[in-house]
Amino acid sequence: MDYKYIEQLLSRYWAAETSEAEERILRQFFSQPDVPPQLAAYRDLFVYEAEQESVGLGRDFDERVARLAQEGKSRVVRARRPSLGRRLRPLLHAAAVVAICVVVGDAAQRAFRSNGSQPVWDYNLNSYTDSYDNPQEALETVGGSLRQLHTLLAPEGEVRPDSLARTKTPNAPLP
Amino acid sequence: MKPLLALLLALAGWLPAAAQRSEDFAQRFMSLYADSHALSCTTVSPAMMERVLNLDTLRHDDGARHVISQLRSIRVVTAANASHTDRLLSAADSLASVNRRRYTPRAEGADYAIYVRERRGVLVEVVVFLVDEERRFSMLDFTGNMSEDFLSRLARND
Repeated sequence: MDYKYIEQLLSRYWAAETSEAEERILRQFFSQPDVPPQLAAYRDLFVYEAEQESVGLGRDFDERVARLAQEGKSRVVRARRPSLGRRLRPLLHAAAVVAICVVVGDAAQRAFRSNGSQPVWDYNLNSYTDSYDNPQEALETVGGSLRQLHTLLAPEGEVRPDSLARTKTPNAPLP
Repeated sequence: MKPLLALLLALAGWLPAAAQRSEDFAQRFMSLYADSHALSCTTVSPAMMERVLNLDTLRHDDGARHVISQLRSIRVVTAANASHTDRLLSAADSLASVNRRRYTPRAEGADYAIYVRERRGVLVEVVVFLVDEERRFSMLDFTGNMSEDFLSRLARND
């Protein structure tokens, strides 16, 4: 028997050129029990489609779904509240990043600042509380202190600097 | 836990770095001995030193202005009486010795000693321990950005 027509339809099927009627013909052909050996390889493809058409929901499908829904209702699912630590974790992440950036930035700033042209005075400004409100009084202390230092440094017989000469000595106790 | 540890480590690294803003010798000495030996301290802060520099009195005195412009602060520590003079002198010498990497001796005599702290070629602190005419202990602590010329000028009376 000449199955040329079936083979032509198959070629058109692989090229996606078959119409619904032609595909129906192929399904009907491969549904019969006597399929020629040279075309047997394609039988499962067309038979599979027919078999899957018969698959559907059983009569007990509704009962099974209702039973599953009941089981779901009896199990109460509560929302899990995250612990304080877990809630603060993003904040700690951010704080750690900021702290590391500050440390690295400060270290870099000190490193780049460390050259001969930059001031090297490194004392804590906040630790200085003035004993005087009047700069004129402070000048007397400055002058007296410098005079004392000059006295210690200068060789014997040197004249003291007049510009810083004041009557008050820096060793007077605080009022 | 890990972010908290990282934060603590970063702080532990930053705090010593921040503490590098140090205290001067007189401040340290006062914190150790002020209460037990009745010491008083007179302070001219960096802010006040700026105001001193702008006084009319110094406007036409270039020499004085040149010297004072190198100073940032002065502390004068004075003992109330002469009973603890030797002990205080000894304590001051000990404190300087303990910090010998920071303070180097510059000059000394029978009743005085001068220590300096140098940083990158600049004298940032000059500390003087001395005994006055009444045998009372006294300390002068100059901080600033002083050059060797500063001391030379003072010695020469320029």
